[in-house]
Amino acid sequence: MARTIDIDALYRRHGDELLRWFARRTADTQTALDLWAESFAQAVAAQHRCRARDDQARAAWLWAIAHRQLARYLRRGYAEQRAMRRIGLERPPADQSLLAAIEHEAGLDVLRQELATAMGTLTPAIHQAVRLRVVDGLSYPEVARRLSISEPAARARVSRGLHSLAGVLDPLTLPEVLPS
Amino acid sequence: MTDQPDRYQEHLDAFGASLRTSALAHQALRPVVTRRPLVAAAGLALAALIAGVVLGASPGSRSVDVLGQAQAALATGGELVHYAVRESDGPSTGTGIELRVARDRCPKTGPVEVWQATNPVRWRVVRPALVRSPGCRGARGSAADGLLGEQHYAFADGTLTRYSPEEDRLTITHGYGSGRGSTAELTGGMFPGKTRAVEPLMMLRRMLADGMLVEKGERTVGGRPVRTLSQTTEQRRLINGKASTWDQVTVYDVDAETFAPVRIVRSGGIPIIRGKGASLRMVGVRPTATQFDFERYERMPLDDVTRRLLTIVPSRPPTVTETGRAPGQNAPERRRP
Repeated sequence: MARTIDIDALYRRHGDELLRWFARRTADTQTALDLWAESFAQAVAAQHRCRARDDQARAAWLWAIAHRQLARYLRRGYAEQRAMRRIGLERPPADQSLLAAIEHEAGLDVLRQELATAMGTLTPAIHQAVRLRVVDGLSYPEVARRLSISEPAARARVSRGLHSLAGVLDPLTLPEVLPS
Repeated sequence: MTDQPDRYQEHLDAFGASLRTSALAHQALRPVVTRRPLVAAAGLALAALIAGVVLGASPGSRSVDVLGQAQAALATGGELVHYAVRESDGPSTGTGIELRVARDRCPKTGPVEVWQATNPVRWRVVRPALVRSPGCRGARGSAADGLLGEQHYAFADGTLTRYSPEEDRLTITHGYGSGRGSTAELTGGMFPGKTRAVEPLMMLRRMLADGMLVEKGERTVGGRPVRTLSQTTEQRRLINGKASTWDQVTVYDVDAETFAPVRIVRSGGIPIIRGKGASLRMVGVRPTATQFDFERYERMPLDDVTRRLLTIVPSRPPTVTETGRAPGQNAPERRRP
């Protein structure tokens, strides 16, 4: 039996929380925006398959989509935009003030300090890539240039590093005391 | 000056509008079959009616709107709110509404004292000296006598002022937005011992406005009659590679007569991490809680006299450092005084 869900209500309830979650998990606002938009696009595209019957189950379904997006990004090193293209969803462009606002809302300053400490557990090559991209905020081409490696390799190193730090990044969302 | 929270909300709204359009267009492309049995709906309505009648008639039922009264007690409406709260954060003990902090991992020498007003947002905070401990994050000041000194903070008109009596230093930072989240973020940062603390009244106002708290009856806390409100939400995390869920509990006690805040306890967790490099992973969560015990809570008219309570008045002329914060920048840009 086909059924649709109220994506608008789901977005109003979880949009803000999800964006901050992606920002904190990737420590990269641009990537977070891509993953966030793609997650909602996937929710629109897959809503007919959703069997959730109440708000809690629908929220769990949306978060499962988001977790999958993040896992794919960490594995592949880039954010997909397949569903966005399929349903014709466009994300408003992000300027510097928006990226700064997301950093502010997600508390990335504090996160970066924590990350800098936790990065001691990474191998030197990955540590350097994560530091250049996440802590110093350099673009992937610049990271690649600095490390004398290709851009895909730089992306792979950063995503592998973030994957290793998942145990550190996740708990940082635990003390969030503001309800979403 | 860029108001970051407004820019953030603007983007959320813009994307929400695009999403709504796409969702409607996508729905129109597919046949929609929604079957909502009338019998079930009627059954639910009947059950709600019965529950209302039964609860309304039961002894000890709500004779007052506790949630509404609690919300009204926290409203600032042109007044100055003053409170003194002792914050503790550490391993938790007890379950349900009996949840407590067993031991404060960042001991303080007194309560945090806050004066705040809205429209426009203004506040002053006096943070007590902390006992030197590894559990105290972001503590400032020297460590004389094992203490980290008292700190004063004030925010008004986009300017944050920090004063350290111990260092005799006043630091003024301009350029903060005063939109959504500012009070929570800035005042929250004054509560030591947590990675990302929050101003407790802001948290409560939001929880009450969102209808997230439910009434749990009356009891006594520290010899004081209180009405207890509570909220339980499910948390999801990957632990040891598997999706795990647990409940996050918030317990809010309000004075039984005045509905003023008495205590907030909220459960949380410290991750237990094992491994190195690629094998680094979260293997569990150690239960913790944050507790706010209100020692004082009062509302007073905002006039020329009480308005002075919102500003820092050093006892002697301090060394002053001024910094600016350019639009779009996260960290304040240092400027020579």
